[in-house]
Amino acid sequence: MVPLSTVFILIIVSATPLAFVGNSSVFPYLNIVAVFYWSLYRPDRLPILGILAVGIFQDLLLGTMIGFMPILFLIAHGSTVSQRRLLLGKSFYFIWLGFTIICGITSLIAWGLLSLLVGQTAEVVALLVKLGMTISSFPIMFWVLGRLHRSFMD
Amino acid sequence: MMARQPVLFSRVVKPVQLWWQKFAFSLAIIISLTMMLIDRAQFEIFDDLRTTLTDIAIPVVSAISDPIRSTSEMIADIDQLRHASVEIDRLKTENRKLRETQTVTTALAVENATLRKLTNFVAFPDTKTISGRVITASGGSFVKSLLINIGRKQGARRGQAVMSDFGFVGTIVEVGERFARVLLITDLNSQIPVVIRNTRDPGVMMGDNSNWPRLMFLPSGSLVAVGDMIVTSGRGGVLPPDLPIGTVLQVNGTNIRIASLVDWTRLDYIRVLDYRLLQDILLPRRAVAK
Repeated sequence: MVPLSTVFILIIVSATPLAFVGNSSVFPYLNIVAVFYWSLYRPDRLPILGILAVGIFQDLLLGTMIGFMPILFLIAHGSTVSQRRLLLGKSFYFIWLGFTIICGITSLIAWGLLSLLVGQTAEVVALLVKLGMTISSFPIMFWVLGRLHRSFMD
Repeated sequence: MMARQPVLFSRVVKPVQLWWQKFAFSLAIIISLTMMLIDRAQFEIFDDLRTTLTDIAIPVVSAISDPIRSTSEMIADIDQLRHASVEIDRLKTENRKLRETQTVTTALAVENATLRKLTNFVAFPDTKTISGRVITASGGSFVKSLLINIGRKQGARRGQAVMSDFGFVGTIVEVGERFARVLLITDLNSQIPVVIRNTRDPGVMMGDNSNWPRLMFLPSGSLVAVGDMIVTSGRGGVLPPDLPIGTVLQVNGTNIRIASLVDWTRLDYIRVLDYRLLQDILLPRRAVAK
C-alpha cells in the first residue's frame, strides 16, 4: 500500500493551497514522480486498478474530465515498466534523464488530449513551466521516496 | 512431478500472467477513455455520481491537507514577521489616507441615497455574502478550478459569483453537500459578460488557461486603453453588475488582455455572493469542461 498511498498523498499535497509557495502554476506534479519511482522499483506493488483509482481521485479534486489523469498515470506507468531493464542499476543521472523523457512524453500526450477535447490548441507555456518544475523536483522526490521505500518495504 | 512444475510455470502460467498484465493495462486505458467520453456527454447520473464521490473524498483530503497547510502558514507567518515594522508604517500611512476617503464616501453615499429616492431608482436585489475557504486549487495547466468549503447547506448554488478580497474569482459550476466547485475566470471555458467601467462598452471576457484572460467582442470603434477598469456587466442576470474584475493589461490589435485583481498565488479565503435574481433563471446543468 505504500506506493499507492504516496501517490495519493502527493495528489493532495499538489492540490493544497500552500501559503508560502502559493497555489501557483509553478508547483510541480509530484504525483507523476511517485508513479515513475514505483513503476521502476516496485511495479508489483502498483496495481493497474490502483492507478486507475488514484487517477480518478485526482480528476475529482481538480475538476478535469474523469479518465484524464488515469490515462496519464497509465502511460507514465506503462512506459516506465517497459524501460525498466534499461534504467535499473544505472546511475542517478541516467534515471533522471529517463524520467525527463517519460515525463515529457506524458505531458505531450496530455497537451494533445486536452487540445483535442477542447477543440483548440491548449496553453503551452504554463505546461512547459510545470514540466520544468517537475523535472527539477525529481532529485528531492527521488530521495524522499527512496527513504520511504527502504524504511517501509525492504 | 517435481520436474514438470517449472515447465508448467514457464509454458502456461507465465504467458497467462504476462497476457493478463498486458490485458489489464489496455483494459484500464479503454476504461479511462470510455469514462472521458461519458463525462463529456454530461449524463445526469454520472454528474451526480461525481459530486457524491467528491463529497466523500473531501473529509479525507482535509485530514491530510490541514496539517500541511498549518505548517505552511506558520512558515509564511515567520517570513512575514521579518517585515513587520515596515508593514506597520505602511499600514499607518494607508489608514490615514483611508480615513480621509471615508469622510468623502460617507457624504457621497448620503447624496446617492437622496438622489435614488428623487429619481425612483429601481435597485438590483440585495446580495448576501457567504465566506469560506479554498480546499484545493488546481494550479494546473489543464484546468483552472477550485474546491471551496461552502456547500449546499451553507447556501451555495450553481452560477453564484465568487470573490476574493478585491476581485471576481469565478462562478460556481458544481455544488455538493460539503463543497462547491468554482470555475475560475482564467479557465478555457470561462466566458463572462463585462463592460469597461468608464465607457460602459460591453464585451466578453474569455479565459484561455493563462493568467490573463482576453477581452473580446467589443463594439467597433470602442476605445480601450491600458489601465481601463473592467467590471461585470450583469447581462444575462446570472452575475450581479459592477463586480470588479481587473484592468486592461495590454492592447495589441484585437488581442486585449486583462490583469485580474485577484492574487492567484495567495487565494485562500473567498466570498460567495448570494444574488437573488439568480433563482429565476435556468442554468445549463454544468458549464465546467475540462
